[in-house]
Order: sequence, then structure tokens, then C-alpha cells
Amino acid sequence: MEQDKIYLLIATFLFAIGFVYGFYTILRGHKYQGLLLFAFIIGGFAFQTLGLNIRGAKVMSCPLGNLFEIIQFISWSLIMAYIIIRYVLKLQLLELFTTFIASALSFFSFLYPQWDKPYENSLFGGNKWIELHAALAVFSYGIYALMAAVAVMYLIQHYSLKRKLPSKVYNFLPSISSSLEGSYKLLLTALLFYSISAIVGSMYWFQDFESISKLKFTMTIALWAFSISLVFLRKKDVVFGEVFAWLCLLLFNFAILTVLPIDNRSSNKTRDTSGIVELHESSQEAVLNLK
Amino acid sequence: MSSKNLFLIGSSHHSVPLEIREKLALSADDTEYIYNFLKESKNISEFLVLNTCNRVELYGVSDKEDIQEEVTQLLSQLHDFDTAFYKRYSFWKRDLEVIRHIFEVASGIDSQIIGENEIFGQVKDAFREATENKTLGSTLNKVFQKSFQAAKWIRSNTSICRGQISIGSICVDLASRIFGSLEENNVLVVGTGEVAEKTLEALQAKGCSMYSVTGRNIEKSRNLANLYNGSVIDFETFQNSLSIFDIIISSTSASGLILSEQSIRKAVLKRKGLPVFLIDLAVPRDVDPKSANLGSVFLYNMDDLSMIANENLKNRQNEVVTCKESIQEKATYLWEGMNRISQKKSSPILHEPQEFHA
Repeated sequence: MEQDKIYLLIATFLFAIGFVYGFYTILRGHKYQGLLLFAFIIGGFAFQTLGLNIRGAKVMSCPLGNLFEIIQFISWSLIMAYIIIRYVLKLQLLELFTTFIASALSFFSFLYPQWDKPYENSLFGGNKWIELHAALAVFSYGIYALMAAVAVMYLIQHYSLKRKLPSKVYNFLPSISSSLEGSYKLLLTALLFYSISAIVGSMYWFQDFESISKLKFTMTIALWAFSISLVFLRKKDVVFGEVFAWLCLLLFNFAILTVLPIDNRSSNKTRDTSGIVELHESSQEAVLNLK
Repeated sequence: MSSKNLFLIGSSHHSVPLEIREKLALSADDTEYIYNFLKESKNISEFLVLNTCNRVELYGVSDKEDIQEEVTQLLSQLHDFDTAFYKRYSFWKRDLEVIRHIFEVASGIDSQIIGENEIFGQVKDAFREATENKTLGSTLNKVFQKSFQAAKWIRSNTSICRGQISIGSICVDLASRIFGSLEENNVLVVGTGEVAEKTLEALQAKGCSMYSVTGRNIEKSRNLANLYNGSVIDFETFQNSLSIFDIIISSTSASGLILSEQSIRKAVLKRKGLPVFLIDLAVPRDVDPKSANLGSVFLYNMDDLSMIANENLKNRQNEVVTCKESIQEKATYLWEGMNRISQKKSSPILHEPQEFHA
């Protein structure tokens, strides 16, 4: 196995061990050592960064060239977002849910070796703006993942309160009010990054709209519209509580789903630029045309 | 003392669901009626009524064989129930079983929240009430005095009370799971029951500072509000401002619902999705149970809170066995002692002077 993959695998196991440790401790009715779990996260993050860095050096760009790399990058973005946002949200058990999603995504990326198909180096044609656009888009996916984690925390707490489940385990979860507020803040943050990414990408669409994949374009617009609508409906108090949490989950699932067809569709092309989330492929084509 | 002296008829949370228990609950007028009625009975020489939100029990002394029928009929008529229906939801104990039962009740072993202290005060209050009504003779007097001693012994010599859990602390835990920090929450107390006050105390300790109190008795409401620097709301109009409250604690002694599902639905709509925590501490219940179906409403009644408390106190369950063994020993000792005395006197305790018949 290549060195970068070994590092990514070590990271996956570190996230998984952290999750198992935290989950087992909570099930026994105790609060886990936050510092220990954080150490697993930081350790995993370090290995994942190293792995992606080696991969990036190999392909001479941000490693976003196939489904394996995209999922790994989403997992990395999720951890990155967690490390930055944890002090702002201050939600109990967030690290536990983060390790769960990070390890699940990471394991998922290793499921099918064919997802890590080779592609031509210098994926973005040396254009740093497209690279930035793609990286921002995938980073926003990481924040969507964190938002989904918080929405799940809300739904579990809500369910336990409604069903009057007596276990003390639920006392460890954050309150429904704070997790709802947290998921809304994360939705706004994800939308911000996604919008910046779209703005950067749109600079190339205007120059060569014909070369843009219609499927990707539709998906980009749909995901953006979904996010904007959800923000608007929440702001206007039209959706709240349980419905909002379910919609957050749906939004994340939709975001993940938009990644999969892109990879399949672009795999037939001569230059395999598959897997770049939504916009970058069309942007790249536009850049090539400009050249 | 002959073995037919002591009797107990009652119903409690063990065998009676909340919706039936609230129908069996006695109002102050009902208790007064029982005292007045049984004072005239030639068949019952001593008696005491223990009436709490979780149990209604009538302890008595009688030498009549079929006294069960008489008291069952009295209690059924009081609630306008069919006798068979009442029998289905009540229990009947005699002699040593009665002693053992009151020992367990006073010790908190028989409580809905095992090991809670409040029942001890309630038994003492019932004892005081019976003394004031002059319905106690030497038998019940001795049994209850000994039950207080047994309760103190159990509390001091076993770990049944270890790990304090109260309705108040459970409510605070639940409120924290709904709202997180409680500092900004608006609390309304409907009625001025003791448990509600203790819940208020627990909420205050957690940082809650905005209280309003409403109740039919304006004086009591004002006193409670003053105690917590809160305000008083008119009982007739408080439902109009229901939507501004995050936590509503209701503990009135009303016989019907105080908060209907419709009024809560209206409040919820105005709150635009903000959750509301309804704590119904009353038996009979004050809040329409259908309100729990509303998405952002979290409704907890006494049974729900007790179930959570006991789950948190699983270690107490193990201690119950030890306590019951000690109580059995003490109850048997008392029962045999009382029988020895009555044999020496060659006449049953029943024939001792009965003050309240005088």
C-alpha cells in the first residue's frame, strides 16, 4: 500500500478508536476524558493531513481528483471545521459525533478500491482560483457534515425527551435549544463557504457557459437553493425544531449524493477529472478553452 | 390484642394508574367528611387517613369481622364508584401486615421515588390531623410512633437515602436538556403546592430568576412570589399570557383540568417553535395529557418524574431488600409485644378508653 494511503488508514483507525472509547464510556454512564478523545481527533487529523499532503504533492494540486479523495477531503474538512468551531458552539458530545462521521466517511472511502482511480496530474490546469473554488466547495461539505452531526444530536435528545426515556446517558447530550441553534449556525457557515466557492467558480461559467456540465450545474444550483431556502424558512420561523433538524439531515444527504453521479459521469472522459464537487470540472473546461 | 384489630384499606401508585388515582384522590372536604362520618361509627374504634398524591389509605382498629365491606362502601360512595370497581383498585391488609406497611411507607421504601423524605412529613401530618380529630387510641398511636422510629432507623442505618434525588432536581435536569442554561427562562407556577415550591427552589439554584405565580388563593400566590422575587398573575386571566413562559409548573388541588390542550396549542403557535416544558405535579392532573402530542411541548407528570428518579436510583432498589428485612423484624417485634401486653391485660386493646367516642 502506498504511504499516503497508510497514513489515511491510520487516521481512520484513530477516529474510530476515539469514537469507540467515547461511546463505550458514555454507555456505561460516565463522561469520557475530553482531552483523550481530542488527542485521538488531533492524531487522526495529523495523519490525514499528512496523507492528503503527500497525495497533493503527487498530483501537484489539491487532491480532489476522484471519489476516494473527495470523501477523504470531506472527512478532513469536517475535522478541520470541528477544531475551529468547537469553541464557538460549545456542544457536549460534539467530538464524539464528529469522530463517528469522520471515521464512517473515511472507512466508506476505502470500501471500493476502484473509487481511487488514477487521473492526470495538475488537475486544475495550474489555476489556483479553480483549485480554491473546489477546495472551498468540499470544505463546505465538511461543515454540512458537522451540521448533520448536530442535527442528529438534536433528534436523539428530542426523541428521548418526548419518549421520556429515563437513561442518564441523555444528560450528556446538549440541550435541544443549543443543538438547534448550533445546526443553524453551521448551516449559515456552510452556505457562506459554498457561496464563496460558487462565486469563484462562476467567474469561469460566464466566459464559457456551454462547456459546463448541465447535471453539475443543476445540482450546484439545487444544493445552493436548498440551503438558502432552509435559512430563509428558519429565519422566518416557518420551520423549526424537529422538522428543521430532519431537513438539515436531508440537506447533508443531498450534498453527499451530488458527489456520486459526478464521479460516474466523468469517468468516461479521456481526461479523468472525476469527482470534483459540482463546479470545478466545468470551470476547468472553461479554463482550458480560454487557454 | 386480637388478630382482627388492625386494618388498612387503600390504594397507591403500585397498583393504580395515574388516571384512576386522580379519581380516587381525596379533597380536604372528603377527608373531613371521612373523619366526621367514621367518628360516629360504632364498629371502628380508632382510625387515621393518610392522603397524598400517590396514596389514599385508611388505617383503623375494629373488632368487627366484616369491617372491610363497611369501609369499602364508604370510600366507594365518596367517589361515586361501584364497590367492585373500588375493590379492583384497592388493597386490604390486617394486623402485622398493616404495621409492616406503615413502617415501609414512613421509611420511604414504598414511595414512588424510593427513599424520598417527603412522605415522612406527610405521615406525620396525617398523624397530627388524626390526633386533632381525636380518632387515635393507644393501638394506632403506638403503631405510628413506632413507624417514625423505624423510619429514622432505616434512614440512618441503610443507604436508602443515599444520592439525593428529588422531583425538583429531576425537573432541573429535564429543563437543562431542553433549554441548556436556565438563566433566561421564564417560569410560571400555577398553584402553590409544596412540591412546586421545591421545584422552584431547585430551578433558582440553577440560575432561573424570572418567576410568576398564579393561583386561586391570591394570598398564598403572593407569598410564594415574594419568596422568589417573582410577580403574581391573576388566575382568571393567566392563560392569555401562557405563550411567554418557557417552563410551567402546575400543582393545584383542582379536581379538573386547568390547562386544556387548546389553550396550550394557542400558546405554542405564538411561541413559533420555541419549546415549552410543562410539569404537572398535580393529582388529579392539571394539564391535558393530549398536549404532549404537540411537537414542541414536553409534558411530564408525577409518574414520569418518579420513573426517571427511580431509574437514577437503581442502587436504592438493592437496598430495599435489606430495608424490608429490617422492617419485617421490627414490625413482628412490635406486633408480638402488643399481643403480649393485651394478653396480660386479658382484654383486647379495643376495649381501652376511646377518646373520640366520648
